[in-house]
Amino acid sequence: MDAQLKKGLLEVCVLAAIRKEESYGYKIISDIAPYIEISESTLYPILKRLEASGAVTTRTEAYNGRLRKYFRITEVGKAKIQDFVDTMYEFKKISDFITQGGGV
Amino acid sequence: MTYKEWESCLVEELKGLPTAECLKITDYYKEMYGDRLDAGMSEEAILAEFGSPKSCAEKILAENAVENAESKGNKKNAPTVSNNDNSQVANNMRRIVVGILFSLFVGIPLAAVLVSIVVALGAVCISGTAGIVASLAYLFIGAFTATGAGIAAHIGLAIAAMGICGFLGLGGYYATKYCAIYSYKLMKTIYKGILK
Repeated sequence: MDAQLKKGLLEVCVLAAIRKEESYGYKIISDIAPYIEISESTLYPILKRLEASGAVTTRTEAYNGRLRKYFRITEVGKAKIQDFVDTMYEFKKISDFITQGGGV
Repeated sequence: MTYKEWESCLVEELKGLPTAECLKITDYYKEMYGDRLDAGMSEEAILAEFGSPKSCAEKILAENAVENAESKGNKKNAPTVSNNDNSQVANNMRRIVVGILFSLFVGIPLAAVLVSIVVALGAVCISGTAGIVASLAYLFIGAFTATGAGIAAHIGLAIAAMGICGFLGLGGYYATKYCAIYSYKLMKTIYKGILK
């Protein structure tokens, strides 16, 4: 898969993983891993980017005697997911056109 | 290799990054490591999954270089790790220059004022303590040399003096202590902000 495309997909996957409720690094990886390859060193820059763009907010909480950072989606993040869904709809139409032999 | 050793190697590989960013990365891996341990994984398996510190650092630095290039709107030049190194060097140079100029005109004068205040408060504490000793001496001398009502007057004066000196000594001690602590914190915060 193209690196840029994968990067974009991973961003939306992370947002989708925290859409229903806030989550933390390890859980996000566990939720996404069955669908797309992701590692700790891949996730870190994505979370950093999403936080910088205002798509997620964070809070740190003590857990089992150590700190855990939780990520929560914002309206900006939800809008990003919607943008992706809209784009995929456009892609689907183009894909159908291509697979059906360029129309007739 | 233990996790501590792995983390030390990672920090070594991330040397070009600002300390605050490096700390965020190690905190992130620490959290990931803790969660994987809780999930029942062994230290060896976790580190194998993380990969080598070098490869982790390379990914993070490469991503950082992309972000730097994007934020500068420089999308024409392909970002590389060496671009990141150059920007880090420039950034470090800027910090050194800003640090020197700031220290010369603000940092050192401000530190001198704060140190003077701490020393002055320390002197109050010492003089208060010395005053207690002197009052005690006065109490004994007055008690043995005076006669009649004079004894009571000497004792009363000595106790009052001890009270005042005690207040100065104790007050001076805490004032010195907290002034020193908050002066240090103030300087640290200022330099952290300036050198960010």
